[in-house]
Amino acid sequence: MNDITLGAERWREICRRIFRGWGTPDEIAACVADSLVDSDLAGIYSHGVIRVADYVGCVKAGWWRPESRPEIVRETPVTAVVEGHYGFGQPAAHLALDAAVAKARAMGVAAASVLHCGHIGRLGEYAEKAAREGVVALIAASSGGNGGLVVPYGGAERVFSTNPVAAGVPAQAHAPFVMDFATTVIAAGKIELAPDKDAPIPEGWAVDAEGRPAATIRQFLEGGGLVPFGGHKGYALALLVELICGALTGAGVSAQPKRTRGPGFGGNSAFMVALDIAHFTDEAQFYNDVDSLFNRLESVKPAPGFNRVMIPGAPEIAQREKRSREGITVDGAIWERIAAVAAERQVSLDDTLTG
Amino acid sequence: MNDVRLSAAHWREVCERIFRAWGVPEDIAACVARSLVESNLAGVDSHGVVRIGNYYNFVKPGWWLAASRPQVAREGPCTAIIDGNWGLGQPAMHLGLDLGIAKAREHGIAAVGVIRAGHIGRLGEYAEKAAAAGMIALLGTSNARSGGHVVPYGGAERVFSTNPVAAGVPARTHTPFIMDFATTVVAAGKLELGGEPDKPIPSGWAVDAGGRPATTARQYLDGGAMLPVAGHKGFALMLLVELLAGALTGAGVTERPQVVPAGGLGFAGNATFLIVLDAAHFTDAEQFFTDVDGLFERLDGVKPAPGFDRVVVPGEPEAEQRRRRATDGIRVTGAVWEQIAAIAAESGGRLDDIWPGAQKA
Repeated sequence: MNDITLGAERWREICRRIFRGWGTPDEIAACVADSLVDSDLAGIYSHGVIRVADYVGCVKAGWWRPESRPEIVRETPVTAVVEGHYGFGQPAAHLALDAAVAKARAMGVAAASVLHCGHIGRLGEYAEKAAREGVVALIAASSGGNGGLVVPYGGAERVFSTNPVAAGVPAQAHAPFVMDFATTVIAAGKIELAPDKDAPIPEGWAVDAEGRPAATIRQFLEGGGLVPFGGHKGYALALLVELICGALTGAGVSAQPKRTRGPGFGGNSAFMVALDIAHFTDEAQFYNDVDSLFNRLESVKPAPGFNRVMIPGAPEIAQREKRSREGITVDGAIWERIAAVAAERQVSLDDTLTG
Repeated sequence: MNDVRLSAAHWREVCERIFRAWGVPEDIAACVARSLVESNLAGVDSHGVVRIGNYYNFVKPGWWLAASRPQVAREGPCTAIIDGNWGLGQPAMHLGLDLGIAKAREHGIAAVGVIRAGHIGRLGEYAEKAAAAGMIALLGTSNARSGGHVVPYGGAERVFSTNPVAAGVPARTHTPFIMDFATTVVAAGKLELGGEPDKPIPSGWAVDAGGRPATTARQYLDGGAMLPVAGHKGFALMLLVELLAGALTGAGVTERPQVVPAGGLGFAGNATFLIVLDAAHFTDAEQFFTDVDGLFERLDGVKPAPGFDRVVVPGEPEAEQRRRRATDGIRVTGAVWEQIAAIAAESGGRLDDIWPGAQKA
């Protein structure tokens, strides 16, 4: 089947209808749809509409509850705990971020944890939202104690999920700084979704079941693991994320070798810190420093093989302009999976594909 | 000259006498002495007593002010800014961290900026102190306006200092988690203190003045630069540290070399941003410690990869070194000792009653 290209609003409508068809309240369906489509617009396809069928799969398995709404179950002037009730992750993460941002505005600093929810999507979404509101955010996520495919440095057993970290820092003359990366050398999707399992992979991406460098995707898939970036440094960061997003949130850590597939499986737990600039320094001076540093970085002489130094967040903005113009394309196989989960609930998509 | 080996207590005394001779108040001299000697005990010799000479180079011309005391410059219920008044950095950090711990214990979270301070020493020191108090700490440090010798990813000009990050997480049955690393591939000391600038260095550590991979330390030293760890990821982390420790604290961010000349008040001092968290405000404290210790037990039991004995929880190597060096003492090379002795003599600090009684290596 051919690739499908549609505008962002069409994709949002498709996602909303499918999630509603599976029992998701309107505003939750809209929140998750916005998240997936914005990831596609930002060029992060791994967190885009490609996930629709996977999300429905988690609902069908009973791991996620489509009708659940998140709620704040514990709160002080500077802290909040968001209970996801095993619903979709994005609404829980937005509730936490909004709470942290509001509290930080009043008190200078605040933190919110998120537990018992589905996949929260692209962390950059929350970092960027805070930055656009003039607040600094630090965010991390783990798999809520379910572990994942990542070996600790020096180890030959899977322990962690890719435990990503993100941060947003507002700027005035520039687009905000938005950092968002997995603590592994590469994202899991890059090798899991590759069609040819015997294709060679670069050394240092993954190990086989014995902890030796994996030469092919198959060696990784058959009991191997992904590797933290920068050796012991990325491993320390991955472990820190596991401790904060697992132990501090109360969601649980990846302490058992065997993964149990139950409520929340395939989902996240997360921790967010928000910081209000005016509580620490003069805001005008802050923005002057941030923008002048970004100016300087943009004028740094590039190294051989590079066009220029990029401020984290800039590539996503460039992609968003392009994708908003050109639409979002998925390949035929992905479309068939999306159409199948729609058809399963008699959700009609015909009118979104024409006219 | 042979290596010199002294006990930790003797080394603290050596440091304190020298610092006091510079005009450093007694309590501050003791704080900085403890910091340097603790680094040696932890096996991090780059931040140990070898720094006496380095600190002298800053104090003597008046770039850092020996007699200064840090003060709380700004304070809210959960926030604070510490002004180091360009004194030695460690006391400013301890003032900020202690305040952060007290505020986090009461409210759940606190954030503190420490500005206008000399070198604050090993970041792990503060992560360890927080963890020992049962708190989680996250911190990052820059050189404020002075910048350093690190290129941004894709760039061929020095912009950043090594902008280290650190974190501490308390445990109950295990050694606490202590992370502490530069956001560069290697620490500056590995390239600068080697003394053999023409020896080949591994590819990926540094670039030369043209932004090409440096093959020797000399190519790095002649206008080259260090590289962020893991390409764009380390660069993003390094830039985040610059923004938090520099812009958010008000300390300032790295400026063009011609703006901040090598030298001048506050040159190459540190700026730090730190966050302290109290787990009890977010979850059940008992469950927290069960999870932390459970995860560390699992990591201890993970099958090692070829070439490794076991998986190490960050902080364990330092704890092991500390046990060893507490009995073995701390050793420096004869050259380092001579430098320290010369500084003591120049400053008017007596060491002869310590050295003759010390055990020769």
